[in-house]
Amino acid sequence: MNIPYYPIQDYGPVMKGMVIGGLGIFHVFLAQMAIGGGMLLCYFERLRQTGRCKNADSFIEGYFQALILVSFVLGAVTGVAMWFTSIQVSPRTIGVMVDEFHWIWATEWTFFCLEVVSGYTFLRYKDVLSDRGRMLVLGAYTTAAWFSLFWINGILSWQLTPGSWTETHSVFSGFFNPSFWPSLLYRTLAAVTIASLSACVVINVAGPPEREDRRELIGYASRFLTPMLLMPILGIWFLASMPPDSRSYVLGGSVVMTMFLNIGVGASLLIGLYGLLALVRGKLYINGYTAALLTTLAFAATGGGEFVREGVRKPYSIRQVLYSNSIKQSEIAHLREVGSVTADPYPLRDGLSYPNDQLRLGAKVFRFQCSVCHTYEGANAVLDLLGTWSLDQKRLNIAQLQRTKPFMPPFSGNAQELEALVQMLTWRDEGMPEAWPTSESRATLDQIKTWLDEVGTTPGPELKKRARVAKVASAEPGER
Amino acid sequence: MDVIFPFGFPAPTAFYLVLFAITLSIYMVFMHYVIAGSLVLLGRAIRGIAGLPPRTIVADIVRDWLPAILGLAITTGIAPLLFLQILYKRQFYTANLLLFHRFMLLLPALIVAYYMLYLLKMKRRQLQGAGDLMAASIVCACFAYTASAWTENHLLSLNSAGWEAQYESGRWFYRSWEFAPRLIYWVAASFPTLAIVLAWQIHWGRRMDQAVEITTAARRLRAMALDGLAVAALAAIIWLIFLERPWQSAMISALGMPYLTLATLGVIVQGLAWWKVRTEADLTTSRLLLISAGAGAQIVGTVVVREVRRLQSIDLSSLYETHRQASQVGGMGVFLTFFAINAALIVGCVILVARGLAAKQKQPVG
Repeated sequence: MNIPYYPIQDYGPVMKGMVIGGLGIFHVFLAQMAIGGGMLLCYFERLRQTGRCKNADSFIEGYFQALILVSFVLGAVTGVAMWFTSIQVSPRTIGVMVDEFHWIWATEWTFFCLEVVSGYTFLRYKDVLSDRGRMLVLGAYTTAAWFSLFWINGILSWQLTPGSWTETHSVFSGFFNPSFWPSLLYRTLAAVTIASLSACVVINVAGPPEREDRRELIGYASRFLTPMLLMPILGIWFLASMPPDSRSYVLGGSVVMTMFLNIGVGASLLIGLYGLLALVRGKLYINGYTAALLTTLAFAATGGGEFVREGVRKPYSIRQVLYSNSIKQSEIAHLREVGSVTADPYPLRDGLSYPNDQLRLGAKVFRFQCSVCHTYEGANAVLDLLGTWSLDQKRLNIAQLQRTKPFMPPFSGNAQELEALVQMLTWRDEGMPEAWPTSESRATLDQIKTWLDEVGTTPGPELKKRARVAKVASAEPGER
Repeated sequence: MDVIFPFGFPAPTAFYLVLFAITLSIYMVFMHYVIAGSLVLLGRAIRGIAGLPPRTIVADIVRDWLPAILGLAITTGIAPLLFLQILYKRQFYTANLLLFHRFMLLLPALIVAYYMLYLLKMKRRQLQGAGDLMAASIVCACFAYTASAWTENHLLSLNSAGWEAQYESGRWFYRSWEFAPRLIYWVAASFPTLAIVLAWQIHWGRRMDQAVEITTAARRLRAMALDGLAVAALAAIIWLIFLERPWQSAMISALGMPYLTLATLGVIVQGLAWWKVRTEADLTTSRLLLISAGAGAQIVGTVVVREVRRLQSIDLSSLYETHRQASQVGGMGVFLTFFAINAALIVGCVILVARGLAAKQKQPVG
């Protein structure tokens, strides 16, 4: 079995997922602004051409420049940054995604090219184009922007719900997976909302000087908040499309996931209420500060949604294929035989600071299996999580990790590695003394092996499902 | 390998190698414009601080177009990056990881450069003297950083024997003697590319400028191209001379020699064609086509020679199976369909602009 080992970097107190999550939220927000922005511009172009809005021309000028400066520049570079950050965090995940979907990505790239060319064409030559030409170029820009969402949405939703791809390995059964449509439609609505709110900011910052003129533009821009009415339905559809274990995390199973879902829902609800009750009915003027606040709420909603999307995949980075620590489901049995870091060629950078080889082995196991989500003492610190456990508790709970917490991947090494990990964590927890005895008890290793064999390599979500089925099956008819 | 690139490889590997070479060559055109263009802007800013007016219309065109070209450079760079990951996943990912923050810093550098370019373009009346020089210097520094980080990343990806030591040391820098000649080559080679693209831009916009301005610009472009070609050729010769024996042999084998010859011919054709440019009348369509063909040959030849150096450094045969598996996934039909549609739409945008400009010129003045 050819398992690639990569040089894993230490992020200190920062959890690697926080880096990619933070960047991802920022990028998604900007990309959605570009998508919705295109639609909004088409609408205003129509208003301009039909003479229904006298300030439409100046709005198009100002908003498109803002779109170029914010979305083209930051959106494009953060898009590339997402790729590089994914490589830093989990090269195997991005590698599998590229292998499986490179033609989809290549297709998305053709739309990027169209988006950039049509965007700059409009920015530079809109004054020499006929009305029809302006609408065609804007239409091409908007279509390209939306299709870039269409393609990447298929790949991202496949990570959570690969659907029948796990059996067929057909690109399109993976692409049009169970969460594809709800996710695509929800994101489209989010894009339209963000565009509407950012337009209100632009109108206040760089719009016409007269309040009534601004009010007219805001009135038209706020119409793009109306589709938010469909968000609850699409949100429920997306939840229903999730695997049951993932759904259970956001519905109370994981406090953090539930909290982030609520941030997303709450922020969207506030925007929706404000938009529908005040703006659409034309009862309230929105000033720059309020527009900025609403846009910030939209950012929070995006953040909550993206955090949930990333988090509910646990313990996988690609469901039923690759765990979040970049170990394939199919590799665990092999790694339990030969050891997970036996073939890892990269030495420890702080190898001399450990009192013995067992602790060095434990540190390598931590680096390979745990460090993608855990730090020692920073974010999601492992020493905090198991600081109060006894030695045997640590051994049992790590050996049967997917049973301890179903959103954790199974331990992927042998008994010696597990004992090394337990010793290393205990040594760290006790202040890293200069001397530390090597734990060599045969009985301990045998016990760990028994625990490992007992739970096997079945993933946590599957164990949870089996437990539920067994519980139902064993219940007396009267108790059901 | 004694078969011309890419024929000695299994079909899937050859297929991805060709796709990589084509998309990288396209990217190079935009990347060259960005690198040389930023240096042109720096030169202009230095003249400005000395109180001298711009020598030609060249710098103005560059300043006007550079932000959009940077956008296109970043966008066209995505495709080779995609095929690179299929071909050399482990090498590319490992080098990325080993350089860590160093490599990732190129992203904020690009953002800063992007905004500085807009600042130079949009605030040209306000930004004068020291401000202009500072913005242009920041742009150059950001691109120099990006270029050096990429070169280092590429060289580190070729040296698998050094990965463990590099990791253990915790160093974020990787030094190799190849770094300087390669970087000098790419920077110098970007000037002839910029020169020909600018020549086309001036040629197409001929009606907007005076003949005397075009003549001055033509001479400037000639100097830019010839100087760039000379320095690039020198850097390439130094690199070839000092290259270790096995890699040198690969360059003069059937695998690399045709492309080394192609690049050399491209340099010669460009040199001869630029040599004769003296006035605006010399920027004819046929001459520009000839120079473009030379530039294309130089870029494609160099891209493949660069690849030959990589192919000799790694054991590609161990990746044949991965390439075969990748070639069997679906979606190529979808890609080709949308490639054609979107290419047509891009051409459509150009036609709409051309018609709009023509209609505007026909309008009576006043």
